[in-house]
Amino acid sequence: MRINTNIVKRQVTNWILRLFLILTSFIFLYPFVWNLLSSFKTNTEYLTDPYSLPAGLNFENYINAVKKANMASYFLNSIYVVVLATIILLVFVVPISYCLARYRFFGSKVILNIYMACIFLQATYIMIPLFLELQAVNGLDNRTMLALVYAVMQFPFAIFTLRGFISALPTDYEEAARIDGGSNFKILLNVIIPLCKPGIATITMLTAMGFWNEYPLALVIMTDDTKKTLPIGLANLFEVQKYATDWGALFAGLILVLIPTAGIYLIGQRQLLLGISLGGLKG
Amino acid sequence: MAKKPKLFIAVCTLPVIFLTLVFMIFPMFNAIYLSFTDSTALNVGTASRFIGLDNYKYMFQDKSFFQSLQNTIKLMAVVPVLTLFFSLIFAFVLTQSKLREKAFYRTIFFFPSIISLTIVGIVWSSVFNPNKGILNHLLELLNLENLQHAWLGESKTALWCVAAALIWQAAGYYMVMYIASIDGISKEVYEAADVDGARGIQKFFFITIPLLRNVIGITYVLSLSGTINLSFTLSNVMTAGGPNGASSVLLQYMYTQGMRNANFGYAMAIAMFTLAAAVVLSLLSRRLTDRTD
Amino acid sequence: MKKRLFAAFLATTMIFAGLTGCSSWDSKESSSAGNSDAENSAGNSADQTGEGNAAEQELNIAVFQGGFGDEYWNGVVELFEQEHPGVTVNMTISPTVADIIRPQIVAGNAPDFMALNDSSEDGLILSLMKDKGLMEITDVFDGQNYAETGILREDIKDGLLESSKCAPYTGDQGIYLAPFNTGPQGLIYNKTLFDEKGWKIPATWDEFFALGDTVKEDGRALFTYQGIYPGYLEEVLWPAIASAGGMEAINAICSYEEGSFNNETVLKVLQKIADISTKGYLLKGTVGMNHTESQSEMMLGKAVFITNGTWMESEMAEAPREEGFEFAMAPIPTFHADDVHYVLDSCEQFSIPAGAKNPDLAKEFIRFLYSDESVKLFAEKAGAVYAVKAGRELAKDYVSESTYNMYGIYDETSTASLVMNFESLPSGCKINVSDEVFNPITSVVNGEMTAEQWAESVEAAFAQIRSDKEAADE
Repeated sequence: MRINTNIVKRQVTNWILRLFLILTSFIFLYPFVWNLLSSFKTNTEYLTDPYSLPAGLNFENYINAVKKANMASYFLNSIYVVVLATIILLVFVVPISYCLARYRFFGSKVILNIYMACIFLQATYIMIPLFLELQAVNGLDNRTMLALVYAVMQFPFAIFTLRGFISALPTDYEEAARIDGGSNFKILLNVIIPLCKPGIATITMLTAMGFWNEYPLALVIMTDDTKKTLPIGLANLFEVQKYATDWGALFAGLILVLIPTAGIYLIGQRQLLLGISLGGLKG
Repeated sequence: MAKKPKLFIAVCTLPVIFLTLVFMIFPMFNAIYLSFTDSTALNVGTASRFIGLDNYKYMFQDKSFFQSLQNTIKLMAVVPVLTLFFSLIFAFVLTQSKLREKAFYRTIFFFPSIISLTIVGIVWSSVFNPNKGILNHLLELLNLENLQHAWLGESKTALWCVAAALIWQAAGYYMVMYIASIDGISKEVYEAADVDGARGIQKFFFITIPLLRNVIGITYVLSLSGTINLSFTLSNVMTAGGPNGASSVLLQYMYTQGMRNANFGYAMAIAMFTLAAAVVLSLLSRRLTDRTD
Repeated sequence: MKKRLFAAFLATTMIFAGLTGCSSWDSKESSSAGNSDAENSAGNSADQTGEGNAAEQELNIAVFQGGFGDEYWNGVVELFEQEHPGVTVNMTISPTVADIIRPQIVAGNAPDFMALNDSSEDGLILSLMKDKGLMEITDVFDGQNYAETGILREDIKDGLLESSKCAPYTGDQGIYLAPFNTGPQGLIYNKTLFDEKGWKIPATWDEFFALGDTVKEDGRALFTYQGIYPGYLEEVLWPAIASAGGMEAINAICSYEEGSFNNETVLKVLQKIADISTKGYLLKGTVGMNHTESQSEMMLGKAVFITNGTWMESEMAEAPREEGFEFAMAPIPTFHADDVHYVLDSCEQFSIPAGAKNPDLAKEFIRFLYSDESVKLFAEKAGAVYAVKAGRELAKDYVSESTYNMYGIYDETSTASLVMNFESLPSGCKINVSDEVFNPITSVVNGEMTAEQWAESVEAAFAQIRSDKEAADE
């Protein structure tokens, strides 16, 4: 009998919790659902009644978003920048993190302190000097340059995190490899990198996410419409919509961007969540 | 440990340091230098004059600057606290409850933090749209027409709309961090509390929050600096600082002065002020939370 | 061992070199981006025709794409190239064109010609004016027109070239900005609706508000405007001030004179604007709408009047509307029935940056833009009228009847065209005048600020500008 009331009680709390969570989920999801529905509406439909269900599956908005709004090229630009920036970041950051974790050398402490201080330095603060610098070397409107700057802006966070990760690794494997006559370079490649995989994955996920969504720097550096990344392209579409009165294309554009993001998220979710709990810091 | 492989270290570190110097340290010093000049978009470098502290002096009599400072302070006072509060509740509920679909909620709550802030801004602009927005529509359905507003167009509400979007997009992120930390608290602590007959709310306040104090401290600092930086994007996309500057924030005013009014020097003075404020605040709040340990 | 390390070092530096290497390659490509197609095709055709004797020239133009769309510009560029063999025009056209060319100008790589308004949101032209970054083009207007039938100055609509719209510097009559289009701006209304209901166009503010009470019974609001862009209300503010205080009042404001904004006449006008909202004549939600939204609402009949120019008909071509909607335009009300109704002209501008590489060709291009074929093309493709004397007649066959009628607003008795432009700001000035004048409107409309406070805040900004000016003159 007593057990029974306990079970009932638990059931009731469970349902209260569930109700709370479902309501909250609704708040989190509704904007997207509404967006999805609106993306299938014609302009007239949207302007006259934004809440009705769309009259039919009107894909014209999507075609407009791709054709007129340059969505595809924004997309490719973003992918190019994110992939390249992530590669640059890892290529540069893994070796230095290893050195900082394992050796004390001239200036190592200073370097570490500078990088820790630089974690605060967001690209937004220095966008004008960066703009001037890139302009001087003809590096504006240049996706490769943007990727390089992105990578550098994440050096502090990545070095800080990865150095901490490597410091926590046991040195046994390295010693063994060294006795076998492995060079430092080989040890880094064959021992450290495999051991650091979780740390590297964390950094990759977090920084790639940051690159994918970065707005302020790209806003200043990427002005040529054919070179824009998605966040800027979308904001631009939002702007253009004001002149073209094309709401549908805007919503379709948003959905087109959300689909791959959501897809990658669902696949990489586990790694990402793990990464955040491990890394604890976002750039 | 083996002898220091100097060449190896040099190869590993020098390129990184070089790049950092080129793309972070040098621009940083250049920003400081520019803030002491009257540089404009067309007059930089040799064409500009060194004017000492004039930009900083002007800043403290510029009412638009004060307005954006005030708005930033308002956001910093409200956004981190509310964000972390919601994150903690979500994390607590999701870790303590035994619902089968837990992972589903976690996935959904976290989703906003991975999408681009531009999208967040655009989506929330449509939520707050006076005629077509969901919010006014909901109020109408609930017969609360007198609560309807032109949310982004009224000085009293615009900034808080930006705040809502900020909280909405960040709550899931910190939730994940809290979930990890709560999972780290040993089960026995909670089980002991169960035996003592503690209820959920009590457990939340007397076990979870005290044990997470350090993590909360760190996330608070993160959220503080996040608020300063992210509010730029959201306010730029949602309101462009309007109406009448009611939702402008420091970095956005910096952008307006720098890129729109072309006053590079003045913009950098604002940027350096903001950066200094962010660093001081973070160190301060970090120290405060550390001390309580 | 050492060898291997050296290899690693090499590899690293090569990656780096590769990065910088390919980036400089990338940037070369990007400097001509957006036009590469046009360039390529032009290059090909030049090769095929093999015209070696005609000078190969390039003209880089940057055009703001607003309510007029891009058809006219594509067309006129084609015409210009046809009539000037060997010339290739590279056009950048975008609603955010200022953001695209700003870095190019900073980098000393300015376009040769810009079709960009000085009152545009981005502030590019204003900052160029501040730093003397525009080229003087008085000679274009003192020279022959394109058809070589007379002096170009004579063809341009009266009063424009002398105004601060085109000659923005005090004490310097030189022309730095060329007038583009002309058109009245006022209160757009649905003629069909007015005819059906038998409503009369209000001439005075009293009649205006009286009509507001009438339309309220019909379930409509009297007025709406482009909420989040309060700058549109210039179409009400300046004419109303001019009608009440004459051109002296306007000129004083344009030169930031002390007391020019905080005085009885101006306050009277500001109060009327405040009344529209505080007395309940403004469409609900207006302050949160952008221009397309408020314009759609108006066309759906929710509000009777909206401030706008003649371009609204083409801008909103695809928007849903009330049955039988017909565009018409009324002037801004005045205080007394016999006051002159000033109508703000929507003149936009062309200019040549001081750093243009090919200014002579750019000047030729400007000359060409005022030619009859260009003016006709503009009417045909954009439904609007060039700022030339013959503009309206040349456009007659191409624009819609309602647009043509809107241009006829000047035919009515006691109307006068108003050209309004602030004097150029001193270099280093951190004030954005139109922000200072128009942004408070939202606060006034929301009842958070009084007309007096509005006037005071503008006066304060003017005072700052005057002191900046003194500092710059020293």
